[in-house]
Amino acid sequence: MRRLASSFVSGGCNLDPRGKFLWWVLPLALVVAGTLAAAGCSATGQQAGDSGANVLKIGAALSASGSLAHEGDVMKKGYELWKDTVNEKGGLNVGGKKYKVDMVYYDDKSDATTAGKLVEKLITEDKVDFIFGPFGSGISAAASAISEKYKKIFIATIANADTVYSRGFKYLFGILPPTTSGFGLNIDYLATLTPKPTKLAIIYPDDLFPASAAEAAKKKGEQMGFQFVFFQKYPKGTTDLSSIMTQVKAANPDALLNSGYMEDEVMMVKAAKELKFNVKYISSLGMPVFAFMKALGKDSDYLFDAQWWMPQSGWKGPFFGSSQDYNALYKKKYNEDATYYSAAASAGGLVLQTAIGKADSLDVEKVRAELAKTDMETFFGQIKYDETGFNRTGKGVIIQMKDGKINIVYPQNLATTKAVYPIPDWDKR
Amino acid sequence: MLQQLVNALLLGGIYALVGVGFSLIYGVMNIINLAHGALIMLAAYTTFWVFQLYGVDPFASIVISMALFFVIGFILQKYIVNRVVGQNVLMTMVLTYGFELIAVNFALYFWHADYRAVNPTYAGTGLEIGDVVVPYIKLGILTVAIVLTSLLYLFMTRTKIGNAIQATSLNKDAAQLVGIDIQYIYSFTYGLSAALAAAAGTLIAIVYTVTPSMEGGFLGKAFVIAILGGLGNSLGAIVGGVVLALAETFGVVVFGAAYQQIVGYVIFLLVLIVRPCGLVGRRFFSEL
Repeated sequence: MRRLASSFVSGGCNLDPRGKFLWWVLPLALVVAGTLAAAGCSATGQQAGDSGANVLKIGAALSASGSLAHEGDVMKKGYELWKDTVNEKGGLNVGGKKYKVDMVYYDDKSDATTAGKLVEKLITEDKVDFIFGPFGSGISAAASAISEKYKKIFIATIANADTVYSRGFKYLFGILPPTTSGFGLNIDYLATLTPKPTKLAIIYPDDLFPASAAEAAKKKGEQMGFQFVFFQKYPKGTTDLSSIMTQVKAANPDALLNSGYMEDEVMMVKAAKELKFNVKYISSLGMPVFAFMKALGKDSDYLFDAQWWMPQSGWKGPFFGSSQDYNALYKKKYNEDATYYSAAASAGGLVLQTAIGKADSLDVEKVRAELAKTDMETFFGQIKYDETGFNRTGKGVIIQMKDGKINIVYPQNLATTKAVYPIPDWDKR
Repeated sequence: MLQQLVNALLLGGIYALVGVGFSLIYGVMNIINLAHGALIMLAAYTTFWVFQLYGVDPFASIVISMALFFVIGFILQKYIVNRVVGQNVLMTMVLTYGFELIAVNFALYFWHADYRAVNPTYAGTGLEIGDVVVPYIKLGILTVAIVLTSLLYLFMTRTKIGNAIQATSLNKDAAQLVGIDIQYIYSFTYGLSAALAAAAGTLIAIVYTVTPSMEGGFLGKAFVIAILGGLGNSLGAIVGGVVLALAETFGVVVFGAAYQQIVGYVIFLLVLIVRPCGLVGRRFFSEL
């Protein structure tokens, strides 16, 4: 690398029109080369501490740049927490031998094609034993198609569009319950509220996961007798929602739902406030709530959101203990509260670790057979696979934000406070 | 409908600012500045931090970020971009794209991928005229956009250095013959463009979320706006910005939300086919 950079400078390619010696390019090239070399090392992950130990290698192509970089970063924290916890407890017991876990990460740039290529690289070059999934159904669908080809087990921790699992894949297992159990929970909740909302609006960015959530919620809502006065998708990555929100305002719904990502929700709330659009109920799906509240400040008050997991969820299981215990562990390491992103990632590790333990082998077919039989209570809730590898048993919660705090408002048995409904008008706050 | 027209005009203001600096560099240096989006992103972060740490109002910090980015742009051109002026187009793209990658990864490394937002107390408030709401912030942005582009126009036509910039863009050799230091003009122009990108970034920080990956969308928009208005034409950027905003807004009204961006790009393609110099552009004689 260094030779390459310096030969480029001293060689025939002189970029300086005045022909002066580029004295400063050489140190710069060295710095750049050094940084690249360092980055190259870190990309392959740290080797396990003592050289004699057995290593279980797991690969993950996560988004570290691009539109899903934040989500990828939080998931990585979940994988790392699981890895560290396993290694601190001495590693995994397989066939009488101790295995330390080693993770290999790559940046998929929030792009499905890149993720597919990186999974291939993980399997063929890094020779990883198992693959952990990235954030989102679209990317996971593309990436798992590659691992399936190589018969490697792919734990898609955050991918829950039906289309991901309906392809008849044998080596693909999910963690997150179906979109209907999260976004659709809004519909169940709306039916219990008084005054009962009747007219609903759903907008969503045109992407696999938001679309699958929105369509499932619409179907469920129509069955339960709600009327949809506005139901439209908009291009993913749009930078302005005011024109769409003006149309929504004109449709005059009682409740507004958006199944998009954080940028979408922030734009939607800002546009609603600007347009003085008052609606009785606004809900998003699976926000990274703490970052979300920080970004919106006071304006995040009274917003609802569907989450698949909260520290207060009250589930218990092996290894990590209860959901509160998991959160305490996470908080100790990262100094912030855990969200479902990292919890699902850690739960993926937990499920794999349990299956490996039962199989007492790293053989893909044996582990696959045990994974398929998974039926366990965990800190993340119930995990049980149907024949497609989809975990359909879990259920989410509806939360409401207020003063930087998160309150569970539905289902009733987990509710921590009574919701403020209808949410106050913008000028009455 | 009236509300949508207001939305479009206000959005057009932001778009105009995004496009004008991009257009300027192409007009003068013939460089497709792929670093433009990154400059917008870095300026948005500057605004965010100045607001977060010192409580400086974002509209006031326009002055700070414009001055800062003028200097950054000037230096960037003088020591780096200048080496590819006059080289083939691929080389200029590789260099500016390289800068963009460095800037984005710099932002990712230091500030992570978190979504951030600037929320001044007056955020979301607005003027109500009948059923139509005009948010103060966006009205302010439109005003700033019009003032800045008008100032730029006056600067280019009424000042010595502005005339020198125009002369350089028309014919670089002739400009040199009459004693214009074209190296200086190039650096000055790049600084000016960076300052305009900074103004855009600052204003965008108030209305949208700030993330390292925001640069891509705005670079694409800058391209479309500059082509619509005519590359190198500063007043054309206002036309381009407003046309794109109208297209996106009425695309939603007429065809539905899914067509928001398609309509803008279709107009973009039509303009390229029918009027390749842009809607208000005219052919520079240096290109003949």
